[in-house]
Amino acid sequence: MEEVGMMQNNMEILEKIKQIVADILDLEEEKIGMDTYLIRDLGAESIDLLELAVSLNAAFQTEIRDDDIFLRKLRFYLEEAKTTGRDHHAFLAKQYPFLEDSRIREILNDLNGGAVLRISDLVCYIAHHQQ
Amino acid sequence: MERLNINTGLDRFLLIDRITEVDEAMIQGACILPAQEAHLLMESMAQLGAMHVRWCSGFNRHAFLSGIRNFHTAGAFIGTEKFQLTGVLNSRSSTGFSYAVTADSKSGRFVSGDFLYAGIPYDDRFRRSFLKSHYEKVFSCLRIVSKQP
Repeated sequence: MEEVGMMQNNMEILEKIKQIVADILDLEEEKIGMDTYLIRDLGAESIDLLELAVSLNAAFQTEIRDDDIFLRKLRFYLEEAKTTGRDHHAFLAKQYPFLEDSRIREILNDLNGGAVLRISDLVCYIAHHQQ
Repeated sequence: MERLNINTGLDRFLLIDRITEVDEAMIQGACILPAQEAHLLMESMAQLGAMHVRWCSGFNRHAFLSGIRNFHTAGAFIGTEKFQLTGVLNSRSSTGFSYAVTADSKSGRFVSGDFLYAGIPYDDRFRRSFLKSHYEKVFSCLRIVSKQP
């Protein structure tokens, strides 16, 4: 029952994020889904992410830390884990507590594809900080 | 990148004449613009918001205007006018600051817009050693001016 409630909440968050992203990038909402890559698919630039961050704050009344929600330091963390001999997965899980293990595995397998940030990552960040 | 020179008709870059009120949620100020130039008013509004970004971060960040949305003007310029400027912080993130900024004059001129800023830590190009004390001093002077009759 709790899981159903969480899924419903995530879908509500997704719908709001779709509206915000579509407005900022001047896109059709239908082109945006959980698995959409924000930078790779939609071409979002740093100025768009800045606008997105303040819009998410306004919409959800949640503190938005740009480096965390946009996974900005991902590759820096991976380098740090490498140089200090720590497990990459565990290190990322500690830095990004809002991401599930399965998502971190996906990210680690997707690094060569470019910027890994997905709409679902934003949803998870908001949901995590609303708890 | 080609350098663009704009003659403002003024002998300074700072267009705000005073800051009358400031707290965590808003900033108010005033400016007198001698020319019938809407872009100077837009610049004044941008400077007011940027000043609040710096003040909010204890002058530990440099402020960049990233964009303006929903810019509206009403009424006609009648020449030299004093404008009351108000910036309300609508939302923010760790880096971004979004303001609703308005400017209005006694003649009925009213201008409004949403101004978005990035508050970025100083670096080699925008040096803390100069900029922090510079803007602290500018802010302090604008506040002192506002307390004079």
